[in-house]
Amino acid sequence: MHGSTSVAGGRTPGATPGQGIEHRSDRANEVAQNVYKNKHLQGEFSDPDSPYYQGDGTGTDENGQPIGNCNEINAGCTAGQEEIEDYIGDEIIVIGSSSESLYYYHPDHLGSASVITDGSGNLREHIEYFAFGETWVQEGASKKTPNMYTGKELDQETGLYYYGARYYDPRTSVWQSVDPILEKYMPSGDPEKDKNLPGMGGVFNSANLAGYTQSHNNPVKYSDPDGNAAQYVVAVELGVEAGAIAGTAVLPGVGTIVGGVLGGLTAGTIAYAGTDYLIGILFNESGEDTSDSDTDNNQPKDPPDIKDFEDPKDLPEGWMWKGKGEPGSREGAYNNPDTGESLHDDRSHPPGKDPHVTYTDKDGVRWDNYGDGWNEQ
Amino acid sequence: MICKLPLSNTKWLDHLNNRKYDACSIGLIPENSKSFFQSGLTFVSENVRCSNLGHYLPDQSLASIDNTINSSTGWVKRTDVFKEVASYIYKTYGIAKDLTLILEAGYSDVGDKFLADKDYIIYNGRPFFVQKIDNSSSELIEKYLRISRSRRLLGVVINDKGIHDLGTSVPLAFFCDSFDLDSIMILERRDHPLGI
Repeated sequence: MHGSTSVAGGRTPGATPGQGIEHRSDRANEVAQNVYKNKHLQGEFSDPDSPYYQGDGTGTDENGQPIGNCNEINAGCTAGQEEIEDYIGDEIIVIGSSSESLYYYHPDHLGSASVITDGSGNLREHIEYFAFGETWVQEGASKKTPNMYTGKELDQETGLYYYGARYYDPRTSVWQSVDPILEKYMPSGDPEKDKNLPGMGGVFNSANLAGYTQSHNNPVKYSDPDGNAAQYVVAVELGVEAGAIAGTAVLPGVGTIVGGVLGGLTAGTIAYAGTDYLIGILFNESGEDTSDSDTDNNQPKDPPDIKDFEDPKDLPEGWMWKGKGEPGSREGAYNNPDTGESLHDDRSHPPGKDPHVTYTDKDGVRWDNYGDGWNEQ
Repeated sequence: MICKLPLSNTKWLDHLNNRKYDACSIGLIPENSKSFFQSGLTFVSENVRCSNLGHYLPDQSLASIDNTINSSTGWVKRTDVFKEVASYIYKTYGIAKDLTLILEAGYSDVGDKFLADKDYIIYNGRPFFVQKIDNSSSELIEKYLRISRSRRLLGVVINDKGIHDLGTSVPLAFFCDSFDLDSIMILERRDHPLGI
């Protein structure tokens, strides 16, 4: 069986933005050979509707002519070249093509490209910025890098940075449109949910009411990675296998727990051994490291209340039934697609096995409950 | 501890065949893969004797087998052997440079936020976790194995070049859950290029 495929990670229509190492690569004369280096599978190259369509699948069009690079970001490359972009989350760390050297970004704690080196470690470009992103110094290569302040792409014609949700003018230090998630700053009435309103406090943080200002007017301490809401940033140092390097904190969401991200990055370090790049780690507003999502040995961290699942029609918010059987049956489980947690009801287990409920936490660790807190059947 | 699968036992054979059928239906292995596999292994906790495996059911938890169920009130961490399983996969297949682990992504669907910080591909409309084994670590493989569990666990080890033929070429190894998802069973190819 061979089916259609698509790319996991950000910047691809319909895909979920990734936080692990993301490698973008397209070849004109050759489909991807390595799933880790290139997450496109062959089906994508042969699907005429795909942005990666490669004609007859051999790198030539209907007339037998070589097809240029069909990456929607890097259109216009010549046949035989491989355009490469590597990301940690949305932060670009490597850019280049197979016909020339790779270039490595050495961003500051905001993700702004400050120094760009080639594969031999030679300086290629040096950039400095004013606090709000206006370019102060740009020296080095004649071909300037497009990804600059906070790693975003600068449109040379308009002088604006594109952040996804809106455009930003670094010269005047304001967004070009009002904050698009303004309504999400409003509290829902649920005290638990309202603890994590976007923009570090939602409507209760007055800085969010200024809909055009960048990062609460403090773009050194805060960052706004997609143009939606400001988040807290702090610099850290991490030692990794490829060499101890100064790290950066890029916060996809304050208070978000991403222990898995660090694991993925460790693997990426080995994959790109010899290359220094910067690693993200999450902190909450108080500077506390929130990346350790592990539980203690005795109890899971924040397990759901089983009583809340007694009525399949009235599940806790964010949870849904996934399985072949009826909701609540043994043929499936309640699942939280945001966290990966699941709750499997085994209270009607066949004879010889103790009836229980199994909870799988966000790290995939499983916990059994043999009768505390739920109505035994 | 690694034990040979009691495939003469119909319960175990049925369990394995059901999982192969599931893997086939999502395009992970081809229908003709059965004859390629030479050995079946599973992992058990230290207190379980391999010679007794035929007396146990594949959907029986390890704790119920080695009589370590702690049925006190509240949540009790489950006994599993995924650390050993991950170590085996990493040491066995990580010596080659071009092998990749592909796992069905548990209960996750395309677009789930949970996938956002994981390495995965979308194949036949489903998400699958991917880990290039030699670039990974035993700990990372263990993590991906754990989060790949739903009511089953399905995965393969393939050569990187075989990624294009996923579902049509026989993988180097196929594995699925055993002991109520506390362990896995591995089937390895008869013509295993690593000489296993």
